[in-house]
Amino acid sequence: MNQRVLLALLIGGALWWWYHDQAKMRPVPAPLPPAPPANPKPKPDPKKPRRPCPGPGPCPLEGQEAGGRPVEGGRVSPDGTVELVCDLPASERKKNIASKGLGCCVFRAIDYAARWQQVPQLYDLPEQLVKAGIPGGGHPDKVDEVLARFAPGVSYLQDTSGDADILEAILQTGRMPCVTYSGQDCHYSGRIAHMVCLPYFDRQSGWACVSDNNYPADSEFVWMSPDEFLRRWKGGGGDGWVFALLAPPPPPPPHN
Amino acid sequence: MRTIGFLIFCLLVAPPASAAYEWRTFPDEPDQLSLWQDGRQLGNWRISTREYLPLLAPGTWGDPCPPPYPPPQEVVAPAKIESDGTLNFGLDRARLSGAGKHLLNGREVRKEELLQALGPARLTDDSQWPSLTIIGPEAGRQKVLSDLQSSPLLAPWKDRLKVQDYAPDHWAVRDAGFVTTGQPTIYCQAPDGTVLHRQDEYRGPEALAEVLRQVDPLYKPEQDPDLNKGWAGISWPLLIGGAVVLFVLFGKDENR
Repeated sequence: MNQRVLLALLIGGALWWWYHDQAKMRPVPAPLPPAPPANPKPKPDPKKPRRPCPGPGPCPLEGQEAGGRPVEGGRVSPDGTVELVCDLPASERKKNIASKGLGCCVFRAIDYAARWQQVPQLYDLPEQLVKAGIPGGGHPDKVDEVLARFAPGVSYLQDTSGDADILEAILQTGRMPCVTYSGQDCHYSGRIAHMVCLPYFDRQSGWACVSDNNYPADSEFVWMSPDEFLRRWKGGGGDGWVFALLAPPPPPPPHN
Repeated sequence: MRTIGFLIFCLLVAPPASAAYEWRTFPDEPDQLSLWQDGRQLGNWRISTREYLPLLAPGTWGDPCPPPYPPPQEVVAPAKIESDGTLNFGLDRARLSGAGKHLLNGREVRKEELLQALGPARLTDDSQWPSLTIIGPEAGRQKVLSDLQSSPLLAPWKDRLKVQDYAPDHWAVRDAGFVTTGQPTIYCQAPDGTVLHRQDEYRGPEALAEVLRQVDPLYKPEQDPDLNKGWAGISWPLLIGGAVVLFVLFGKDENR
């Protein structure tokens, strides 16, 4: 009997081995490449050479970059490590205007987001307000009213809790946040009440970037540390208001 | 007496620094202001480009240069100066207080609901979803979009794809490397932009569903059940091997 069990085990083992060997040879579809990060970052450009530090002791950061304070720049962060998530072309970024004497920054920021996410009903929203005789000046309830009138059925969110997680969640999905902003940067020496777009914000990389509808040129983005931005987000009245459309963002550039 | 005479002379000779300058609007050209001094037009400020063009002689304009007198603040950027000195570009600050709300399409929700609300109009983490981009003439795009909405064959992917459609000359696709000549061109891309599939004409919902099945990262063909097979699904060598094992274990032993 022992010999039988041994033989059975031997045959069973051979069958098991054969079955798995066959399984290995069965055709399977090529696996998809591992998913890269949602927003691939460009290779950092070489850093600008700094002035030599005479020492002894550590040298401080130079100029406006010290402490992550706001600094004007382009579509890549001043240290060359990150680029805008929402890179709306300059040709699509119109300047803020007034309607009945009140600024339309809220609605111009929504115009930027609409162009980024292709919601044509909201293109030129400030001009639509002018035409309809609706004064500028925005707050969350008015945004509800304006969207119900000019873009019924368009999905969006608003948040006035000042929760930075929501900013990051919006940008992680490639959408453009519109945020309140209190200035005190390279464009405004004093306090302002304003809504701008936030095409980059990531506490991990240490950068935030503001796209200001009063300064829409490609060289007029304002880069700063996330903390510096959060202070300005919550400093313009309210606890930090963010608006975002829920339409999908444009596809990434194609490649093989 | 000499001093008083000198002062009067100074007042007469020295022109007032800014009082003589005047910005005037055009009734038929809202994008420009003209700068006047002592009844003479000095140049024009173009609002959209924020440029000052000096008028050198009637009909002759110089190159853009800084204006001799700053244009009004509300023209440079439409702002109101509030009682506390804040420059307001369009926020209704009084109605920003009472903050701390999460709003989805105007309805107050919890933060979790804001991020994970049910239904297609939600802010889920779709950053890892494939992009389906349709580029071409309006009619061709609409046919694909309509099938995506209504065809039962495409229903499984309705809420698992980032769908966008563009005219061939749209900025999002025109210079980004996309082929825009299809009737229409349909791209399916991984989140990093890798082209998983491209076709230059629409072949109907069935063919598109087949493509989506193949590019879906969650789809594993080797796990497909085949309910028709039953016992027939087991390969014959395995059946014979099993029979041999049973025979060796429990068959008649001649030596017993």
